[in-house]
Amino acid sequence: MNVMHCPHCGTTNRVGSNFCNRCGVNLNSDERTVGATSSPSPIAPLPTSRTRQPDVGKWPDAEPNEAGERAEFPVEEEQAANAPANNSPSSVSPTATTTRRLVAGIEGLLDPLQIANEGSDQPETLALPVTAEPFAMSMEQVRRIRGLLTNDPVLLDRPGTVNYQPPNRLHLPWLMILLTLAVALPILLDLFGPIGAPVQWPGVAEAHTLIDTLPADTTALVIWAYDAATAGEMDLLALPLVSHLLARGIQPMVVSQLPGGPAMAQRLFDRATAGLLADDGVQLPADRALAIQAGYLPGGAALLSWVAQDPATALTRHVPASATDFLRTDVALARPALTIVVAAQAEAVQQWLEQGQPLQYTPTLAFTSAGADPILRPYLASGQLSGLVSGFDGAFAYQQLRTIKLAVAEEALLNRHLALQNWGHFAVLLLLLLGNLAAWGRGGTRG
Amino acid sequence: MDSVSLALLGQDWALWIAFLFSLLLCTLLAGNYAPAKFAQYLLVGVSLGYLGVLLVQHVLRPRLFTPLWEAPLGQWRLWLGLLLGLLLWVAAAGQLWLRPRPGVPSSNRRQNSHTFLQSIGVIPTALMLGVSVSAVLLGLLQGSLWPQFWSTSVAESLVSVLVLLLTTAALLHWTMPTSQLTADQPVYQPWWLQQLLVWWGGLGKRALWFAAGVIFARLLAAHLSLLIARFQFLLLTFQKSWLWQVADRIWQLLVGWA
Repeated sequence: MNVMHCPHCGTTNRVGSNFCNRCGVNLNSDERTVGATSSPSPIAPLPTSRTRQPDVGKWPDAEPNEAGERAEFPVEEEQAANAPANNSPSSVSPTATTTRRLVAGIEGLLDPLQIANEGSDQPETLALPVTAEPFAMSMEQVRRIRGLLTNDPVLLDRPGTVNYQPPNRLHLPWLMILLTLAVALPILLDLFGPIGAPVQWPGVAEAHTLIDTLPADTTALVIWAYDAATAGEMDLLALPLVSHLLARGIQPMVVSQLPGGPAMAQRLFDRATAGLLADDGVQLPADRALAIQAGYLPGGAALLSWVAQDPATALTRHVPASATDFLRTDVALARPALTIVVAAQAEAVQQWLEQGQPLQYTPTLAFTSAGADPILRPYLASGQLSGLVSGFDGAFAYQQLRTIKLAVAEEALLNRHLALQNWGHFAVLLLLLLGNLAAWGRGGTRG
Repeated sequence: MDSVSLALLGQDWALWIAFLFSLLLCTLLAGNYAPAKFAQYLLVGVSLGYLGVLLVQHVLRPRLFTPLWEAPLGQWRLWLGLLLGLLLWVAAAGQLWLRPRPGVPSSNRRQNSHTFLQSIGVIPTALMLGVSVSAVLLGLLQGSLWPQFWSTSVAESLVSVLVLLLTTAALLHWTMPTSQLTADQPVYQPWWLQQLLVWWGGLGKRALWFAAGVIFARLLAAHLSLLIARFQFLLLTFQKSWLWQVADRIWQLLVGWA
């Protein structure tokens, strides 16, 4: 294959290349010196006199010095640099020597020594191809390159069209401390009011109705997609749901694709069971397990389609031995009547809706954190989600619809949390108001 | 410290460890300093250790090793899975120990071994990536695009038009910002078309800001819930402590004395 060697770094390039593959030098700038051959052109031996000189690498100043002269590069050398190069390696004229000094200076920036000296016994010499004259640049070009390398970049050719002003500094630690005080002070001072009533967004009542109308002993697949990191919000959100499922006698079959998910689910089911046992009006089934913990399911989203198509087989392979007997019963072998995704992130719900639900055709409910709500709202509007309960406020509204209350301590916790949430929102609004007033007072600077 | 407090401390040692590390993590509110970093590193380490134990105890042993040990014949799917897993392990080991390091001379044999091990690791990696990508793409089509496109009724067609308008406007703003449209450049299209594009892109910009604001507000609510829950946990744990009980007793005495 025809190849050509870069006059700068010696890298082999295909004939016809415009730029070197390694250093990016323009290979068409002086084609007569490149030497397109079918065999690699030898890099010329280095003359011993071309060792690194103290003056090599000196650059002409972009601006004249105090004396009004460009002392490091006299006019004669500039003219010499513009002179045509000589192809003959044996006839290195003073003009060419001067140009090579300049070339060495440019290459000093690009650090060619390590490239050129590979396999060489003369580490101190510059392995420049003497046959080539690669950088026959004018002084103006050299000054421009140097200016590009040393000056700050100019984004626009029309300076002044963008009047950019840096935004006001955001004192994040102070903001966080103020927000913390807004939450911590009501806790310490027992200011657990006002509570008010949270807005009941669309999807909450539908979720409650769907669970409330399911027959007892129906199997519901519960995909548990949160762990300890988000338990502070999600526990309070999932507690009314779990309590509702257990009180209705529905058989939840809990699976999780998070390592910590099964433990979190077990903990919350125990908490909800304890609360229901304390209530005399609730009868829990004694002849079977209240919930089947199918455990951790590895495999990511790809496994969900299998769970949707054949839940008995998919889960029997993965559940602990203690639960296998139940999963082989008729109740569990039937498709779950309902799928509930309890997730801190919207992606977990989306994965089920994309991988599982199109194959299973069962109603799906989502209990998610507040942050996931805007992303999942279109799925509720399209009918893919039969109900959506998001955020702590959604869970509070869901609990308000139930006739069976939670345990006294849990109810108190919900009320306190709602009051503290109000205080936190009040603090955020105050911060926004004060920040805007401060910006307005400083002359309306836009950040 | 009385015996009751000691008993509480002894029973709830896990709670106290959680209390301590919650305090350390809460220092993040003031900045990412050494206590917060220490707690984060420990959390990551413990989580990885837990994941390792979980994978061995609940995945590899019951689902792979035990069935193969009990009935090695006729389990070709499990053998295939084991083989692919081993290939991945070998490739990872080669990457760890045979990888060329800068400044360290490497023999040809070592380089060849590294290349070979990397090549055999490509098979399971490609399988995993291919399956994941195809599942995601197929799911996106069958679970998001297709149902949401066809689920809208005629009565909601105005909403659909609005959604379509805002989506295309946001795309236009991303691909061609308004500043480019209004720049003093040669115009190759009719002026009214450029004005329409400017208006459309500006609408997309505002739609993006609105959507970002809604998502940010809900994220803020979620994180506020997490903060409140952590403070409540800290308070409930602290109320069990000997210090709190002494302070409460002193407070009651003062109130009674007053």
